[in-house]
Amino acid sequence: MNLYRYIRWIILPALLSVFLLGCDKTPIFYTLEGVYPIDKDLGLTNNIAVFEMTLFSDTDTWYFAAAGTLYARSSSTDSWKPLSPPVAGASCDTIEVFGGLLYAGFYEQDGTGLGLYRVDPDDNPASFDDSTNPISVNWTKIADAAVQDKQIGMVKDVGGTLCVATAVWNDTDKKFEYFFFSTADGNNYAPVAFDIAPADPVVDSELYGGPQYWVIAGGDLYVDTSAPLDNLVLQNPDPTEPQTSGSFGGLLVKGTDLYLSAKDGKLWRYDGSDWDDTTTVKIDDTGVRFTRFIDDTRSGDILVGTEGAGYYKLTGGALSSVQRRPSPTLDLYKSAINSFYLDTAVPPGILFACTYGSGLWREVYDTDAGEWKWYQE
Amino acid sequence: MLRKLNLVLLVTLLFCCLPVGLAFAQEEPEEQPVEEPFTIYTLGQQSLSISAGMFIPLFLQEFPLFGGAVIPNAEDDKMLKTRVAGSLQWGIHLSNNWMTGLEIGGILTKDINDTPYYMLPITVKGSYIIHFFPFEFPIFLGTGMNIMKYSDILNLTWIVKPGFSSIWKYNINWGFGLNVVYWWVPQFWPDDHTKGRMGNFLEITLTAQYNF
Repeated sequence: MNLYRYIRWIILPALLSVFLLGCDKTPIFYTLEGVYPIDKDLGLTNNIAVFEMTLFSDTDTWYFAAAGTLYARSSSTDSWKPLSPPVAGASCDTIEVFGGLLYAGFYEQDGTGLGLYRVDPDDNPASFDDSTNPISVNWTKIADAAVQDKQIGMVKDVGGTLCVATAVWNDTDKKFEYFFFSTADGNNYAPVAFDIAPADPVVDSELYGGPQYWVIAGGDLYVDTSAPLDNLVLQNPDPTEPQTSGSFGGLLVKGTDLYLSAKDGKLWRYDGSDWDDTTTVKIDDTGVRFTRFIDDTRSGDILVGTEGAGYYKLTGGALSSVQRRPSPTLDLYKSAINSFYLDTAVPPGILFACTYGSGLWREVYDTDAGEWKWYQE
Repeated sequence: MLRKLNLVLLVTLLFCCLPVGLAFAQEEPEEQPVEEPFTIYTLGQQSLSISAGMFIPLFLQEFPLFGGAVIPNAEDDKMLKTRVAGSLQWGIHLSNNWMTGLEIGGILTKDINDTPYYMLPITVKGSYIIHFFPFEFPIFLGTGMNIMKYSDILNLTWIVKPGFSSIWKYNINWGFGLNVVYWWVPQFWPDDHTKGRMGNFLEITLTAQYNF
């Protein structure tokens, strides 16, 4: 009888209270009301890994997505097509438009680097024939020894300078060595020296202020405080500089601020003199693994991707306003976001999110519903 | 000696068969009054039921109950797809016509993007049984708590489940039939009243009932 009383008056209410506390602060029915079909079925498989995307706009406007296979879609059509690689079976994870040409780093299926290639998508059909499927491309291989036949980890236009990160296997030490190059014309690649060589590849670089080239590689933060970009100095042995227990994820310049993310839940903002940081953003007591940023000029906010938790919004760029996005009902909410791309040429702008394993997502404004909506390409 | 053993075996067999024969003799239909129902429940008799079938999302509705805008689950399963429902029920008879009990149900469905959606109602249930030999027609009302999960969102709500069944009594223990149950799931949202909604669903399930 005593046991019965305990169960009735103590244990059951306690269990109910615990359960109620565990309930979410989002009403399911109200959320269901906003559900819409997200799959636009534009020819990309929904579970592929997309690493980067970019836009080429000259005579024609093309979107390009590096997803192992390099895909292209004319902005006037609704179908992605693969591009023929320079070597049969070659893959591509990094692309950039620079000087009116599309640059792409390719590697073979066994991981062997093939180097950096480029093509003019306007040169149609001489070297870029989009009437074929896959699109027939006559790639031009960059002949500079700095990038030729190298593994290309990153190619990025940093304030008018094309930066290329490479990795070379050192068979003597049985480890990779990482290098960084810059070029103003896309033909001649000058090495960028590190005062202390990075143990990890360069993953991002930004031009800040007048001028400072900031570079991140693993948990190392480098800066070159004068143009041209040729000599990087490690910053964060100094404990007042950003420190991370993991590795840095991305860099972004917005106005007079430089933003930095890390894969242990930390975000920083640099105003030219001091670094300001958030408290560590956690999920289930583990720091969120932040990746690349995008300056969402449509709203004035900053978005930062994560590995496995969608993306976070910094309203107006304020570190204190960090909020997880998008709706939990979308797969994107739990996705790993490698990078973003914002196309501002089509008002009010289209935001792309490249995910690892959840394909390519596109956020557009639905004028009928009066809200922004994500769709899977 | 062998003859004695055979006699003992024969007597033993006769004793064993006697109760079986009596039991069959009791179930002879001609011994039942024709005008009486096949089963008559008394206080304390119990029943277990298992049901499985179809779950049909109907519509959501804004508050208030009378006048709130209706958001239909359109023809193309705009919000939720038609999928499966199931339940387990224990009941105890209070009289020949009244029964009360507990029911644990569950539905599993998906939204238009294949995001999973679950409901797990745990209800107390009262039934009034109309007998029409060899059929029974319970009319019932259940109410209790409902655990809902959609994607990563977990909610707890109140639920009301009115419905009826038609059961064909196969024998004194077993009955088989069909349940039609309306699920009314009001989700009040005190933080923001405009986000409160009432979920309206229909369950159509086949059921097997065991009385003991």
